[in-house]
Amino acid sequence: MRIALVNMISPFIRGGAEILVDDLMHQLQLRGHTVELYRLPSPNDFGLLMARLIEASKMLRFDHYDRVICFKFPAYCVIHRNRVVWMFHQFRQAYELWNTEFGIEANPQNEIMRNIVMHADTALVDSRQLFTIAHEVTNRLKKFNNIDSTVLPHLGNMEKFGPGKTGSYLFFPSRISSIKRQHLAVEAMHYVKSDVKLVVAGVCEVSAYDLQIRSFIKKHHLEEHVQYENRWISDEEMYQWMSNCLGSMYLAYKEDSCGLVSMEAFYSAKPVITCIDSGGTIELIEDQKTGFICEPTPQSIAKAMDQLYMDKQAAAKMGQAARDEIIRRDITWDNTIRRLLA
Amino acid sequence: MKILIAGALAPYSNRQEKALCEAVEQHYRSQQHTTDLFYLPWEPDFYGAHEQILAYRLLTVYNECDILITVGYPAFALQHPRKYAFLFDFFPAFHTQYGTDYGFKDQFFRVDQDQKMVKNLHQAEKVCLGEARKVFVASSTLQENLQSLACQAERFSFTPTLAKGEPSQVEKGSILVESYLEPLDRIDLLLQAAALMKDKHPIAIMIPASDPQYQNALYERIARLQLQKRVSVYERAVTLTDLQDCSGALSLRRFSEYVPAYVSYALAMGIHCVVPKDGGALCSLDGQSENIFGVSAEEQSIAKSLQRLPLYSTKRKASADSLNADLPKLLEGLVK
Repeated sequence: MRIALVNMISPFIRGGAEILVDDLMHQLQLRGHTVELYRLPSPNDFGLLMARLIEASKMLRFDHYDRVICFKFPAYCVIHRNRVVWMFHQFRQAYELWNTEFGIEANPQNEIMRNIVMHADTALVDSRQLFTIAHEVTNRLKKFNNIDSTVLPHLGNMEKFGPGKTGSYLFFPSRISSIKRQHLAVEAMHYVKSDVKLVVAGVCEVSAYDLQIRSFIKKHHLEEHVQYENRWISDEEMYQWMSNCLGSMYLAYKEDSCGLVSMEAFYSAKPVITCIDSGGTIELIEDQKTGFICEPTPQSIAKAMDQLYMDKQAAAKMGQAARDEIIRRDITWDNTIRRLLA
Repeated sequence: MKILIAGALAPYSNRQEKALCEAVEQHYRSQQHTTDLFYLPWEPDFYGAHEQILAYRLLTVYNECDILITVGYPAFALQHPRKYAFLFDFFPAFHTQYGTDYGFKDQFFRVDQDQKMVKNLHQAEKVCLGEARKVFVASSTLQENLQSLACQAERFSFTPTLAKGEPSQVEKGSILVESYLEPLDRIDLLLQAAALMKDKHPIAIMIPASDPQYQNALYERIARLQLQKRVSVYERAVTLTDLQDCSGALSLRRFSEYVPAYVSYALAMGIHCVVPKDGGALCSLDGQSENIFGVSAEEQSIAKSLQRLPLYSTKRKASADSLNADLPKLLEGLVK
């Protein structure tokens, strides 16, 4: 089958979604399909540029492909007789993030754009299949657009992740941004009572947020306890840090999926600390059994961090339960691809 | 420096564009620049061309990078104040071959209306190319063709690396041709010539990718001319192993705006190549090498030339590095 994968690109930024699409491409090729990956550049602007992008996505042509699989807004607006949407997320700023600190301010001009975005999403009903990566996304789609969808959980390339030693640090790998809330983890370090350490690693594109975190570390003399790596970390570093940590952290606000980081932690037999408002991650993590689901406050998170550090045996046991859980779920590429190409 | 590379991929025929995008990305990354690469689709449909070019115009990258490098038609329609465009060809079906059997020619060929569309298309191309700081083209043929759009292009040279390949299944001593089976490749003409040949040279037609309809037509044609024993079709690209074992290479592409990689490699390896006198960039090779046989585009002449190809000609090793030696210097010049 000739398959086009259509995703968005925020130039020079690579996150979980990009990794997942690359893995899907690889898996499709292994199964003998001819696959091409197209990516539409996203503007850092909610306004005219976004409207232009929506229109452009409708005008691009994929006639020679038997199947087009799309993932994000507005890449999934492309028109094709056999378009399958595996939705990572909508343009959340126009939905549940609207008029919040992570979204867009409500004003008459933005209202117009919001309507354009919501109208573009109505075309989702014309898809051959409409999947989402988590209940969080499916529920949002139903709530805001009254469109039904089916959850098709994702999985990354997990082969290299496995259990290692139980270390003394918590590992928070992710693109560093306010919506991922690394600041909560760093602020929690001010309240911990144990000697637990924190490693935050990833690229921060917003210098103000980077400065906020650095300033907090400096102000509270946390340099000895917080390793802050604002840079792209290699796969090898990722495996090493993850397999030898005490536990992992993923505190993103209303994350659409359970997060690649959470899955990598589970495969590495590590418990995960998350928050009650972290969206898809709480579909994966069971509080006190495979991790901790905390209030989104530094104090609450600090308590969970201390608990893991002070009873490492229990932490290791939770990690094993996490690994058992992800294996029990039996999320396989064979199953995923069969459903995408049905 | 932040460098973004954008490639346009047409169905079935984009190997060299992809290879160049990857080579450019690799080069700048090795020079510690921040680079990223993305592809956009391009459907070579005459009536849909304007809309697709407009889609490229509407996409926004100008806030995202310091330099935009576009590869292929119509990636140059993307907007950026520091844009460099690389082209292997300029969709001859809409330009030099428009209205001929080899280019766009609608069944109901609505001359007046289509002429207006061509004019508008050329105007759009002119605007988009005019924005580029520099336009680089793969041949002097394309350089000349672009002059009609008032575009002063510079030459660049790039040959995609050929895969080494498994031990070849192609019969030793075969004459090799690689094609996406576009009408311009004139594979029909090759088959007619093959039918006339007295010596029974085997011919291997290599198809990296193609429209299934064209492929079916090819198989039917081979059967009709009863050439099944002499003409073999392989659905893959030419490899270095194939070239090591062949007796010659051939391309009958009409008014070609680039030299296919397998022809460049064949010549570098000292293999004899047959090219048509109306072959554009291919034709410009004639006279540059004693291994080139320039032929008229008619079956008798082609058959005669193919028979002259010596079996197992002397070969020497080719390296992609030597073929692309000028590219790094050119790319360095763009970031200064």
